[in-house]
Amino acid sequence: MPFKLLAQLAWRNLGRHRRRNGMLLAAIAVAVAGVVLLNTMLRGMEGEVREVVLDNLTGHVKVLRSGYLADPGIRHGFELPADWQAGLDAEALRGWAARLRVPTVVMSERETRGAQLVGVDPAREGISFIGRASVVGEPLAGAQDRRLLMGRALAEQLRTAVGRRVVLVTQAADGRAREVGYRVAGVYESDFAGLEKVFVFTGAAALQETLGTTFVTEVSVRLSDAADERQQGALADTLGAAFAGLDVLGWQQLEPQAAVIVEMADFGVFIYFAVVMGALVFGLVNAMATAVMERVREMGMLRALGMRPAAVVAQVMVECSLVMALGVALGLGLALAVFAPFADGIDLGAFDLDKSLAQMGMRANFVPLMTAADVVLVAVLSVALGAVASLYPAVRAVRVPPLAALTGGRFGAAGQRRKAARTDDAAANSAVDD
Amino acid sequence: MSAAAASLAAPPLATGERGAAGGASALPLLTRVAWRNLGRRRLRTCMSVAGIGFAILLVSTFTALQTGVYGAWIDTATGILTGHAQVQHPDYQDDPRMANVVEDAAALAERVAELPDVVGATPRAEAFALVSAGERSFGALVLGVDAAREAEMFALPTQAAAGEYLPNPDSAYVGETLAANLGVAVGDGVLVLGSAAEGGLAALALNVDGIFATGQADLDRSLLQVPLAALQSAFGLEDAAHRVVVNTTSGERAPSVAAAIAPTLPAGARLLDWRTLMPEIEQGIRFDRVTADMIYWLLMLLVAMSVVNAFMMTVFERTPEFGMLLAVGMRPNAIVGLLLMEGLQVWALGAICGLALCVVVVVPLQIVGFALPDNEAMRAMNEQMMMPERLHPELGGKALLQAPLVMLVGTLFAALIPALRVRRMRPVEALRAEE
Repeated sequence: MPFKLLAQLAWRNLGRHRRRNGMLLAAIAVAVAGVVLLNTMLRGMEGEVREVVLDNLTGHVKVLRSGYLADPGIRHGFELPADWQAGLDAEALRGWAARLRVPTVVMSERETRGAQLVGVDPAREGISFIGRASVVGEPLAGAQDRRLLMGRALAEQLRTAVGRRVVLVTQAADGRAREVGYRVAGVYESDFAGLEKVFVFTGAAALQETLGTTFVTEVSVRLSDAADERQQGALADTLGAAFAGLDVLGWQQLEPQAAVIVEMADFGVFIYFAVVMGALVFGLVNAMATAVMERVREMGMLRALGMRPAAVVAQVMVECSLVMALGVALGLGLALAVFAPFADGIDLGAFDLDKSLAQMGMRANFVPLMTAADVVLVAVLSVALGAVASLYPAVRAVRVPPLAALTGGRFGAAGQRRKAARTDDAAANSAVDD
Repeated sequence: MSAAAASLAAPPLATGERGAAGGASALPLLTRVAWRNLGRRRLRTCMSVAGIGFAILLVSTFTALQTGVYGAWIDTATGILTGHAQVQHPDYQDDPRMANVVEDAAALAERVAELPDVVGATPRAEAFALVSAGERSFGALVLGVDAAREAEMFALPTQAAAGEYLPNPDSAYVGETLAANLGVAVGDGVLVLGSAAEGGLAALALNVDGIFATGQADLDRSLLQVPLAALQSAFGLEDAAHRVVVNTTSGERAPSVAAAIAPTLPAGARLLDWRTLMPEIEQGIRFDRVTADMIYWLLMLLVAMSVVNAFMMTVFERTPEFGMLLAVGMRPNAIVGLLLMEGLQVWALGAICGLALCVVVVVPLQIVGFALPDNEAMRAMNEQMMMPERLHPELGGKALLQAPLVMLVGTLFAALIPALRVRRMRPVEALRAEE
């Protein structure tokens, strides 16, 4: 039987029970929209966590001297080789930055706090949050700048402000603690109070001079946003060759918690699908089984006229897939309609959720993310599920012998027995069109 | 006409003149007939029951899981250091200055510890200071504690990776990372330098007698505990402290206990419970609840839609039968009642199956608990989120009742919508509907 005819038959059959199929379509649409929207939240969370980690002075790949993570300090720094960038693929790169990051104690006239002093070249920090942070006062002018850029939360704790002086105690390259006075050039704001408390910035070259060193403690390299894991691996290999003897670590190793959240997102997409579609499948089988049962006579006739059992099964499956495909289309439309107003983000801070999000490494403005791959996945899985769910009713339909079907029996021998026992049931069992 | 329908149409139910008494005596009959009707379309009944059971199983199981996890999460997170509630100077939470103290803290702690539902209370003083060993210096939070009480109330004193917890008046209990950064081991000396309460330099020479490892990066890197008296005298605090940390009988009950003891506190002190002290936990629970609720409602809505569809089909198929019943004098409302009874029975079967499976899944887990996947990344995340290592779901009233009750309302509503069509049926047309 040609597919075109099957599809035509299936389409007409759908029109026979508008109300029932309408309800079924609505259920499929709600389920599909639900799964797609849950996925956008999951993907949004994944993207957010990854973005925040990459932004947080980590980058995709970082070069460190082994021992630095356990004991951060200038003695675990290294000399930047002159030609280290030679092998890098400039196309795939968003940028890189070499920094000195050392623990420090910041003292204002009134308070004392621990922090990390980071020597940066401001021109290179487009790859991290500090390059884009809004600053009250002035940002750092260059790698030679001897002034300090401090987070707002730390400035509040220290009760200091732009233009005031603070004293930083840091261990210099010779192992001695060095007290240096700094003027606060600017106070930056970040999405996380945690970052504002931890990082104070100054010019990298100026800090090298202060600490009496030519070392840096890290090189952070960020790939372009479209980069995948393969490119990250290639980058790590290139850097491994350029910085022999040093550790080359991906962000997944540096921030394992974030990596767990990102990994779980891929898995969660399937869990959501299984749970939501699981709830749908009972209704789907129910509707298809009824559609088949009430057409037993008609199918008996078709079979008596020579339609093969496989074609009967195919017809039911095509019908169910068609309903599913329609439902998926409706559901995607519904999902888009709900998603559109939130595409720019939802301010969860307004619901007092900012601190818990911060603990998970997310900003308060939550941006859901709809990816084509997830939408296609949900659509394909749904239609496949529709075909599988219709298999059982379809096979039942085929099991009825044509003659029994024509004479009004329901399900072959079993149906006949039941019919014999309760002949008066037959009237109620036959189809009623709405 | 089916046997079931015939018996239903027979007096007393069929004769509309019978009053309330007739209706009441008909209930067992209604129940029996509804039950037989469910058997007429076994596959359909099974699918509806399975759908309802599936929703109840998932929602109840996950609610039990959430209930168990939240309590343990609160207790684990507050049990490290923060406690269930704290008495502080009214400004200290927002402006943690040295001078914002609670006076006569040890006596206050003793008094609070005697109050009902309070398990323990201990004073703490704290100062940010420069901690030095030899040439190395790091900034750290120095906590002055009452060692004996602290050990009774919190986990940190038991998390010693080396040495012991504050055995002497000049002992220091140092975080693992801080000790490594300072290059000190048990037995080495450290010097604490900070600003005293009245200005001027505060200095404290200590002996590292213990090193702790909590897995919480912040604590291990920047925390140092010392005896309260040593910190008070070095920083000129006299008998004052910054916090009186209070533990109650359970973290979940702490806010109500805290509210009860707040009025008994002296002026110049206020009580904050863990929801204010650790907003990330409270928000985390809320966030988890909101996202889970969205999925629960979606699930239950989908199942209810399936049930609506199932009853719609039932009503269509049985239109001639209903026409016959109407023709012989059965009231439309009785037919609606019959369909609702069928809905009720479908729900009951679904609820029994769903809850039975839920109990089978949850009870063993509740007894032995279960651990999350044991890999390094997962452990790091758990420690950072301050989650307990083993989770025990808790099958309480909420888990057992909420989903079944919501599904009950959903199922009855789903049965009612198509059933109301019966009231618009005209017996003659309905009888001919099969033609």
